Amino acid sequence: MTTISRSVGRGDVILHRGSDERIGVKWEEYDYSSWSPVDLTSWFGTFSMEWFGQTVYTLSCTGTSDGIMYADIPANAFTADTWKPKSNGSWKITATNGDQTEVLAWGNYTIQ
Amino acid sequence: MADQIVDRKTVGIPADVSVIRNEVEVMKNDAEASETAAQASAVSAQLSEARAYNWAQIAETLVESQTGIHFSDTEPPIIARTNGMAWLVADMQNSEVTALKRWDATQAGDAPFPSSSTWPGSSLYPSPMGVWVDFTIDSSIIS
Repeated sequence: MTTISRSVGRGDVILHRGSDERIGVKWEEYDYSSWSPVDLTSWFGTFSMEWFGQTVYTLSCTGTSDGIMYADIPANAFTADTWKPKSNGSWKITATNGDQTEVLAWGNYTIQ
Repeated sequence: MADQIVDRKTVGIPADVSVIRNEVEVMKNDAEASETAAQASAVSAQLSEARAYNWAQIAETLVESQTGIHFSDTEPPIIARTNGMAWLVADMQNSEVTALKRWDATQAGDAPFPSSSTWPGSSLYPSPMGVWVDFTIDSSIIS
Protein backbone atom coordinates (compact mmCIF):
# COMPACT_ATOMS: atom_id res chain seq x y z
CA MET A 1 0.00 0.00 0.00
CA THR A 2 1.25 3.48 -0.83
CA THR A 3 2.23 5.64 2.08
CA ILE A 4 1.66 9.33 1.56
CA SER A 5 3.21 12.19 3.51
CA ARG A 6 3.88 15.86 3.33
CA SER A 7 7.35 16.46 2.06
CA VAL A 8 9.88 16.71 4.86
CA GLY A 9 13.57 17.21 4.32
CA ARG A 10 15.44 14.19 5.56
CA GLY A 11 19.08 14.00 6.57
CA ASP A 12 21.29 12.51 9.25
CA VAL A 13 23.98 14.80 10.58
CA ILE A 14 27.23 14.57 12.46
CA LEU A 15 27.71 17.51 14.81
CA HIS A 16 31.30 18.13 15.81
CA ARG A 17 31.82 19.06 19.41
CA GLY A 18 33.74 22.34 19.64
CA SER A 19 33.00 23.42 16.10
CA ASP A 20 30.53 25.90 14.68
CA GLU A 21 27.90 24.00 12.75
CA ARG A 22 25.20 25.07 10.37
CA ILE A 23 22.29 22.97 9.30
CA GLY A 24 19.44 24.06 7.12
CA VAL A 25 16.72 23.11 4.71
CA LYS A 26 15.56 24.61 1.44
CA TRP A 27 11.81 24.63 0.82
CA GLU A 28 10.55 24.91 -2.72
CA GLU A 29 7.10 24.65 -4.27
CA TYR A 30 6.14 23.52 -7.72
CA ASP A 31 3.69 25.72 -9.62
CA TYR A 32 3.09 23.18 -12.41
CA SER A 33 5.89 24.66 -14.52
CA SER A 34 8.90 25.34 -12.32
CA TRP A 35 10.22 25.13 -8.78
CA SER A 36 10.31 28.36 -6.81
CA PRO A 37 11.55 28.97 -3.25
CA VAL A 38 9.13 29.77 -0.45
CA ASP A 39 9.77 33.17 1.13
CA LEU A 40 10.58 32.30 4.74
CA THR A 41 11.48 35.77 5.97
CA SER A 42 8.22 36.07 7.90
CA TRP A 43 8.41 32.53 9.28
CA PHE A 44 9.70 31.65 12.74
CA GLY A 45 11.86 28.56 12.71
CA THR A 46 13.16 26.36 15.51
CA PHE A 47 15.90 23.77 15.47
CA SER A 48 15.44 21.16 18.16
CA MET A 49 17.17 17.97 19.26
CA GLU A 50 15.51 15.06 20.99
CA TRP A 51 17.09 12.35 23.05
CA PHE A 52 14.82 9.50 24.13
CA GLY A 53 11.70 11.60 23.68
CA GLN A 54 13.10 14.51 25.64
CA THR A 55 13.90 17.83 23.98
CA VAL A 56 17.47 18.53 24.97
CA TYR A 57 18.37 21.48 22.75
CA THR A 58 16.50 24.23 20.89
CA LEU A 59 17.74 27.10 18.80
CA SER A 60 16.02 29.80 16.76
CA CYS A 61 16.52 29.61 13.01
CA THR A 62 16.94 32.23 10.33
CA GLY A 63 14.59 32.27 7.33
CA THR A 64 15.56 33.75 3.98
CA SER A 65 13.61 34.91 0.96
CA ASP A 66 15.22 32.19 -1.13
CA GLY A 67 13.57 29.37 0.78
CA ILE A 68 16.27 28.54 3.30
CA MET A 69 15.68 28.05 7.01
CA TYR A 70 18.90 27.42 8.87
CA ALA A 71 20.34 27.21 12.35
CA ASP A 72 23.81 28.30 13.39
CA ILE A 73 24.94 26.05 16.22
CA PRO A 74 27.73 27.62 18.27
CA ALA A 75 30.98 25.76 18.90
CA ASN A 76 30.42 25.48 22.65
CA ALA A 77 26.90 24.01 22.37
CA PHE A 78 27.83 20.41 23.21
CA THR A 79 31.05 20.74 25.15
CA ALA A 80 29.47 20.37 28.60
CA ASP A 81 29.81 16.98 30.29
CA THR A 82 26.02 16.62 30.36
CA TRP A 83 26.15 16.02 26.59
CA LYS A 84 28.32 12.92 26.85
CA PRO A 85 25.43 10.45 27.17
CA LYS A 86 23.33 12.35 24.63
CA SER A 87 25.58 11.84 21.67
CA ASN A 88 22.87 10.16 19.58
CA GLY A 89 19.30 11.25 18.97
CA SER A 90 17.10 13.00 16.45
CA TRP A 91 16.82 16.58 15.25
CA LYS A 92 14.22 18.60 13.37
CA ILE A 93 13.51 22.06 12.10
CA THR A 94 9.95 23.31 12.42
CA ALA A 95 8.63 26.62 11.18
CA THR A 96 5.46 28.58 11.66
CA ASN A 97 4.06 31.74 10.17
CA GLY A 98 1.26 32.03 12.71
CA ASP A 99 -1.33 30.28 10.55
CA GLN A 100 0.63 27.30 9.33
CA THR A 101 3.24 25.13 11.00
CA GLU A 102 5.50 22.84 9.04
CA VAL A 103 8.12 20.31 9.90
CA LEU A 104 10.71 21.33 7.35
CA ALA A 105 13.39 18.77 8.09
CA TRP A 106 14.38 16.02 10.41
CA GLY A 107 16.93 13.28 10.86
CA ASN A 108 19.23 11.60 13.31
CA TYR A 109 22.22 13.23 14.88
CA THR A 110 25.49 12.03 16.22
CA ILE A 111 27.75 14.23 18.26
CA GLN A 112 31.43 13.52 17.84
CA MET B 1 -9.18 14.72 -7.70
CA ALA B 2 -8.23 18.05 -6.19
CA ASP B 3 -4.97 19.73 -7.14
CA GLN B 4 -2.09 18.32 -5.21
CA ILE B 5 0.28 20.51 -3.30
CA VAL B 6 3.70 19.61 -4.56
CA ASP B 7 6.72 20.79 -2.68
CA ARG B 8 10.13 19.59 -1.68
CA LYS B 9 12.45 20.22 1.18
CA THR B 10 16.14 19.56 0.87
CA VAL B 11 18.43 19.31 3.88
CA GLY B 12 21.92 20.71 3.60
CA ILE B 13 24.51 23.07 4.96
CA PRO B 14 23.62 26.47 3.51
CA ALA B 15 26.36 28.87 2.60
CA ASP B 16 26.93 31.68 5.02
CA VAL B 17 24.06 33.78 3.73
CA SER B 18 24.99 36.89 5.69
CA VAL B 19 28.60 36.72 4.44
CA ILE B 20 27.45 36.33 0.84
CA ARG B 21 25.07 39.25 1.21
CA ASN B 22 27.83 41.35 2.76
CA GLU B 23 30.13 40.53 -0.16
CA VAL B 24 27.44 41.51 -2.61
CA GLU B 25 26.97 44.76 -0.71
CA VAL B 26 30.73 45.40 -0.79
CA MET B 27 30.82 44.74 -4.55
CA LYS B 28 27.87 47.09 -5.03
CA ASN B 29 29.63 49.80 -3.00
CA ASP B 30 32.84 49.29 -5.02
CA ALA B 31 30.91 49.61 -8.27
CA GLU B 32 29.23 52.80 -7.05
CA ALA B 33 32.60 54.24 -5.96
CA SER B 34 34.07 53.42 -9.38
CA GLU B 35 31.12 55.09 -11.06
CA THR B 36 31.65 58.23 -8.97
CA ALA B 37 35.37 58.24 -9.81
CA ALA B 38 34.58 57.83 -13.50
CA GLN B 39 32.13 60.72 -13.34
CA ALA B 40 34.78 62.90 -11.65
CA SER B 41 37.29 61.92 -14.36
CA ALA B 42 34.78 62.79 -17.06
CA VAL B 43 34.21 66.23 -15.53
CA SER B 44 37.98 66.73 -15.27
CA ALA B 45 38.41 65.69 -18.91
CA GLN B 46 35.70 68.12 -20.00
CA LEU B 47 37.47 70.91 -18.07
CA SER B 48 40.78 70.02 -19.74
CA GLU B 49 39.09 69.98 -23.13
CA ALA B 50 37.67 73.48 -22.51
CA ARG B 51 41.09 74.76 -21.41
CA ALA B 52 42.75 73.20 -24.47
CA TYR B 53 40.13 74.81 -26.71
CA ASN B 54 40.81 78.20 -25.09
CA TRP B 55 44.55 77.81 -25.64
CA ALA B 56 43.95 76.77 -29.25
CA GLN B 57 41.93 79.96 -29.80
CA ILE B 58 44.68 82.06 -28.22
CA ALA B 59 47.27 80.35 -30.45
CA GLU B 60 45.09 80.89 -33.51
CA THR B 61 44.71 84.60 -32.68
CA LEU B 62 48.47 84.84 -32.17
CA VAL B 63 49.20 83.21 -35.52
CA GLU B 64 46.72 85.47 -37.27
CA SER B 65 48.36 88.54 -35.73
CA GLN B 66 51.82 87.36 -36.84
CA THR B 67 51.47 87.80 -40.56
CA GLY B 68 55.19 87.42 -41.17
CA ILE B 69 57.74 88.82 -43.61
CA HIS B 70 59.34 86.70 -46.30
CA PHE B 71 62.64 88.11 -47.57
CA SER B 72 63.73 86.02 -50.53
CA ASP B 73 63.95 85.80 -54.29
CA THR B 74 61.62 82.84 -54.27
CA GLU B 75 57.95 82.79 -53.46
CA PRO B 76 57.11 81.44 -50.00
CA PRO B 77 55.35 78.06 -50.07
CA ILE B 78 51.58 78.15 -50.04
CA ILE B 79 51.36 76.54 -46.65
CA ALA B 80 53.45 79.37 -45.11
CA ARG B 81 51.35 82.20 -46.49
CA THR B 82 49.09 84.13 -44.13
CA ASN B 83 46.75 86.95 -44.91
CA GLY B 84 48.65 90.25 -44.89
CA MET B 85 52.05 88.58 -45.20
CA ALA B 86 54.76 90.72 -46.79
CA TRP B 87 57.11 89.34 -49.42
CA LEU B 88 60.16 91.45 -50.03
CA VAL B 89 61.20 90.14 -53.42
CA ALA B 90 64.96 90.32 -53.27
CA ASP B 91 67.76 90.11 -55.76
CA MET B 92 70.08 88.20 -53.53
CA GLN B 93 73.13 88.61 -55.73
CA ASN B 94 72.87 92.41 -55.92
CA SER B 95 71.38 92.79 -52.44
CA GLU B 96 68.40 94.75 -53.69
CA VAL B 97 64.73 94.66 -52.99
CA THR B 98 63.08 94.57 -56.38
CA ALA B 99 59.43 94.45 -55.37
CA LEU B 100 57.08 94.64 -52.42
CA LYS B 101 54.18 92.27 -52.32
CA ARG B 102 51.40 91.65 -49.86
CA TRP B 103 49.44 88.37 -49.70
CA ASP B 104 45.71 89.05 -49.84
CA ALA B 105 43.89 85.84 -48.94
CA THR B 106 40.48 87.41 -49.53
CA GLN B 107 40.92 87.41 -53.30
CA ALA B 108 40.21 84.32 -55.31
CA GLY B 109 43.46 84.33 -57.24
CA ASP B 110 44.16 81.06 -59.00
CA ALA B 111 41.80 79.06 -56.85
CA PRO B 112 39.46 77.23 -59.21
CA PHE B 113 35.77 77.29 -58.41
CA PRO B 114 33.43 74.74 -59.94
CA SER B 115 31.21 76.22 -62.59
CA SER B 116 29.28 75.08 -65.64
CA SER B 117 32.55 75.00 -67.54
CA THR B 118 34.88 73.67 -64.82
CA TRP B 119 35.27 70.03 -64.03
CA PRO B 120 37.83 68.41 -61.73
CA GLY B 121 40.30 66.35 -63.74
CA SER B 122 43.75 64.80 -63.63
CA SER B 123 45.28 68.12 -64.68
CA LEU B 124 43.21 70.36 -62.46
CA TYR B 125 44.34 70.80 -58.87
CA PRO B 126 42.68 72.95 -56.23
CA SER B 127 44.64 75.91 -54.98
CA PRO B 128 43.92 78.08 -51.92
CA MET B 129 42.55 81.58 -52.39
CA GLY B 130 44.87 84.55 -52.40
CA VAL B 131 46.97 86.73 -54.66
CA TRP B 132 50.18 88.71 -54.28
CA VAL B 133 49.30 92.40 -54.44
CA ASP B 134 52.16 94.66 -55.57
CA PHE B 135 53.06 97.62 -53.40
CA THR B 136 55.34 100.58 -54.08
CA ILE B 137 57.11 102.99 -51.79
CA ASP B 138 55.87 106.54 -51.83
CA SER B 139 58.48 108.95 -53.06
CA SER B 140 57.81 111.26 -50.12
CA ILE B 141 59.48 108.88 -47.69
CA ILE B 142 62.50 108.28 -49.86
CA SER B 143 65.27 110.64 -49.06
